[in-house]
Amino acid sequence: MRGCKCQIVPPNLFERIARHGSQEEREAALDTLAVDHSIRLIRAQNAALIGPMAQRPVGTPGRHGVVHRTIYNAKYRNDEHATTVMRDEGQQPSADESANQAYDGLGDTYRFYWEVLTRDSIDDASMSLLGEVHFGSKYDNAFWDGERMIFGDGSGTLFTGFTAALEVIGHELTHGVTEKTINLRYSGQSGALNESISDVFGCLVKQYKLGQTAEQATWLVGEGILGPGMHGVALRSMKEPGTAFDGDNQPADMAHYVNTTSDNGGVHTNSGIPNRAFYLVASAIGGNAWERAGRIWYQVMVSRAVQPDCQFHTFATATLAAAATLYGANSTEVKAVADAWGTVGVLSASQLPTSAAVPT
Amino acid sequence: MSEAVSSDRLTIERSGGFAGLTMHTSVPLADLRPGERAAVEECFHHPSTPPSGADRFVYRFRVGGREAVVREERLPGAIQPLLDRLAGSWTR
Repeated sequence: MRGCKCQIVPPNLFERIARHGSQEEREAALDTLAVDHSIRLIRAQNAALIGPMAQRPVGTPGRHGVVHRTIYNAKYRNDEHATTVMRDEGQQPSADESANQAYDGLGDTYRFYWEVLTRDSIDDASMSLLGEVHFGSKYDNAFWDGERMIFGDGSGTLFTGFTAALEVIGHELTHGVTEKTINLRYSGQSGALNESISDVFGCLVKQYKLGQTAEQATWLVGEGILGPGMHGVALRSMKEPGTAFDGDNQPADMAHYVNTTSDNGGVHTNSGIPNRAFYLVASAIGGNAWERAGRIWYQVMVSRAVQPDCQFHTFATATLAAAATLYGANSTEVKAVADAWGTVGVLSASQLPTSAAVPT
Repeated sequence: MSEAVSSDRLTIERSGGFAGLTMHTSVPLADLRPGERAAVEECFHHPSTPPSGADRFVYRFRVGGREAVVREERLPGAIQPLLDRLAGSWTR
């Protein structure tokens, strides 16, 4: 507990409660101690790692910051290895709108990762960005296949082309970044965190491009790609999960967590919970969401503070530790993170190490 | 899944994808072409596999009391004509 100045209740009190309190008091105290212990562990790991990952200035010798993109044409087939190039790096715009949208969107996403987080592409080692458009016949989807970001044209009924929304392109590229960092297992809560991280950075790419503050941004994912068979404004709302379209069943808090075996255990459904937590952090801190809220989330990824099977609670604890590492234990950022995870019900009030701490 | 699982129809659920929409359709077994029937049968003997990449569709096939969950990237090629034929029939 030494060094954890953010806690207003003396930790030895928790230890005493854990030993001598009622059953309920003991459980609450043990939870608090466990959270505090994991925060300290993660903070120690972060401290060891922050040196090499700390903001590297653009232009550092050996660092590039030069994007390389190739956009392939799947020619309406389910071919993940299409070889026909529609637009390569530096070439003039194609006559094909989807190819240009993919090229530009991957460029905007690269620029975000480089300028904001000093990350040089998906692998932080100048990996080429491979996009593929016109995948499948009336294909209502976009995905990351482990090598390429692949976009369908949509059926025209549910969806129109998936390259039209920058946050969709940022979302797919971010799946690659997650795979190269904390590699969250694509199932249940760890899968929902994987999805949420893609929504978070997809939205940040767009906000950075548009110069929008947390307050100005829409926090919508999949804006402008809904067809006439979908009634709503987007596919997901990070600000108000469950309100983006007529069939949006995303929960906004743990009390409404959806247990399902579909969609790898509801990875695109329960992502609403960590999505809202991020929105709440960004909105409490204010200003540009990519500057502090985004950096806290990225710190968890790049410092590999969590394991692939990480659950919401562990991730929440890791963001608290990352915020403390970056901004100090008594910072407004730590308080924003603690409050957000409390609001969505991932950390209960008794588990919040900073719930009673007032920065002075 | 509100629709009763009958033994003379193939019901298909498609979940996942970027949108995370869960869609349903079904087809009488009698309407399956021989190659498609074999492909569906192959699905029931498919070993379960972990997802590769992200945002892929996941298919769940049901006939009678049998159920198979197959990831889009692992579908037998012979089932594609059936899925193409059913493309306009998915409902939420």
